[in-house]
Amino acid sequence: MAMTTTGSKKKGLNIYTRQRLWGLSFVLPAFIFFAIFAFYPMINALFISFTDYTLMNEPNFVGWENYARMLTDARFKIMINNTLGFVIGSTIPTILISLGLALVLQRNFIGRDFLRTLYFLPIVFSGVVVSIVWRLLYHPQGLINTLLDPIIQSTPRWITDSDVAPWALIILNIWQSVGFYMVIFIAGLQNIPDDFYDAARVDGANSAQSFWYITLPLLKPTTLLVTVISIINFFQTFTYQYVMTKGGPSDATNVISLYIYLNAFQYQYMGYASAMSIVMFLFIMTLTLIQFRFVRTEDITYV
Amino acid sequence: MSKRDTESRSDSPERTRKWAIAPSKMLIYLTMALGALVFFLPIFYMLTGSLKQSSDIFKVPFQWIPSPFVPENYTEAMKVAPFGRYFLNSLIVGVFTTLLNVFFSALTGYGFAKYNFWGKKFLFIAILSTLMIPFQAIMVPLYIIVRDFSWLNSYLGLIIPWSLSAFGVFLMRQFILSIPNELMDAARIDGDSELGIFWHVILPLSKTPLVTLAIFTFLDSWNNLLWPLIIITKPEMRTVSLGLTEFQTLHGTSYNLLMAGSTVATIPILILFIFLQRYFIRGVVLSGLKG
Repeated sequence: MAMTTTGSKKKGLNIYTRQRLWGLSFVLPAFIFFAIFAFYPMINALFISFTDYTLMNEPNFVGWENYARMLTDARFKIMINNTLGFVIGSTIPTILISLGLALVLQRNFIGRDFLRTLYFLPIVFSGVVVSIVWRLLYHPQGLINTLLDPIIQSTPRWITDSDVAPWALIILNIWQSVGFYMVIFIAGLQNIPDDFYDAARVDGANSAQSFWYITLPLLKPTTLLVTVISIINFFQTFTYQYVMTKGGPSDATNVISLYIYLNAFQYQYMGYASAMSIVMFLFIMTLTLIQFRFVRTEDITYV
Repeated sequence: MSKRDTESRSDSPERTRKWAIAPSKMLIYLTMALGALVFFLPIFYMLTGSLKQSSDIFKVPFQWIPSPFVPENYTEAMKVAPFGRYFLNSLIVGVFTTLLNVFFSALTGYGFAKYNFWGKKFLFIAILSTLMIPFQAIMVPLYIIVRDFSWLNSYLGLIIPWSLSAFGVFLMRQFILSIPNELMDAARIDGDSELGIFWHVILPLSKTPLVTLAIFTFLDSWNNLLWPLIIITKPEMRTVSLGLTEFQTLHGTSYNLLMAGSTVATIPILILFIFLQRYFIRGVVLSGLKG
């Protein structure tokens, strides 16, 4: 009703049309932005993946050659293995630790907020800083080996031993990620109404039982969500590997993102890099679609 | 009534038990405290390392408190590499990326939340679908676009491709949906234009999501390595993340200087965190919902 008072006085356009034009003009800049910086690049990546483009030459169509190359490229297989190892090796401990932290830190006790802050703190550090600091921690004479020295016989060569280096990166990743997922778990736990626990207590359930029959089942959507997000995030890992190990020793910590970067900007194989990035996109897209499903179940409130 | 009754009854034994914690619980809390210490150790290592003599870094037994105390590491690091310039670059890029992203996300979110127009659903889903694109998938074409715009080695190249995020649009739309239309109508009666309503009504009411989005945009911008690595080749255009990476490649064993540089690179984010921790936590919960 208020709208009719101002609507009709300009240019004869009726109020609804004017409102529509306003709305459209508010979202159109964003759409143009995404068209230039997301949709067009995505289509172009698909196009380049079928060419031999190197930034210097005109792209020539090469059919499925770049995709076929992935199947025969021994290094690509190593990258996939390393990436999956990193994802699996990181995801499981990260979820267990962050869930454990959330279960304790959602309770009320003195110093709780301080502990939460400490566990959360690594998030604010950039991947570059974290990699540099941990490279020093992992140094043969660094703090970790200094502390381990009295306990174990031969201290590991964290970064230079190709069997240990992948674990060194996983440990660092867990250290930096746990706080993030802890916060999501705490939010999930707080969504479970107290009434459920009260009811269980009235029925004589002990705390182990209420954890098993109330907390875990109702936390399932959160857990699935955290699993998918962490897989998506960890799959794209780049900075730790680039800064700390440069993928070495001899590709032991090289991962798919780093390999795409190297192919595109060091070896100038834009076509091959794009083909790999398309495969990566399909993988991430599938996971994101799964994630969107979980978000919907997440929104269900317990009446 | 009856609920309150049982509560007050159980209250008194609870209170007496408060200080006599069961041993198992004690163990849990002790583990938590110890874990937190372990978590803090790398940060402590960075801070103390930045104030140590180079020869003291690997001293056995480990030097928990730097002696001698060497704050000169910071000035020395500045001399070896232009960290001041890197810092300024990151600040410029971070601030402008954040302002643009916050403004346009809010404007777009406002359009989607409060107006009806042809193709609205399609446009919204199209924008949201870009969340599925990992950066690595489009980095080659994005590089080509930026090169063709002559934005290599420029602030524009560092800022513009990140000046709007689908997450921001989604976040702002969800929030603005909850703002009652009556408030907008009241402003219309007062003769406010549609853009005026956005400015005078919507933005002031959206402070919490705006601050949350601003923090995360700035954090992402400040910490980004891959994009500057691709488009920046001139040393004077390096951001802190890139500059620090290059510094490590060149002076990988000057650990005390590396720790000083790392500390400097962390300070702005740490200040934000100390004052706005609440928003950090909120942002994590929200980004958990979008990914």
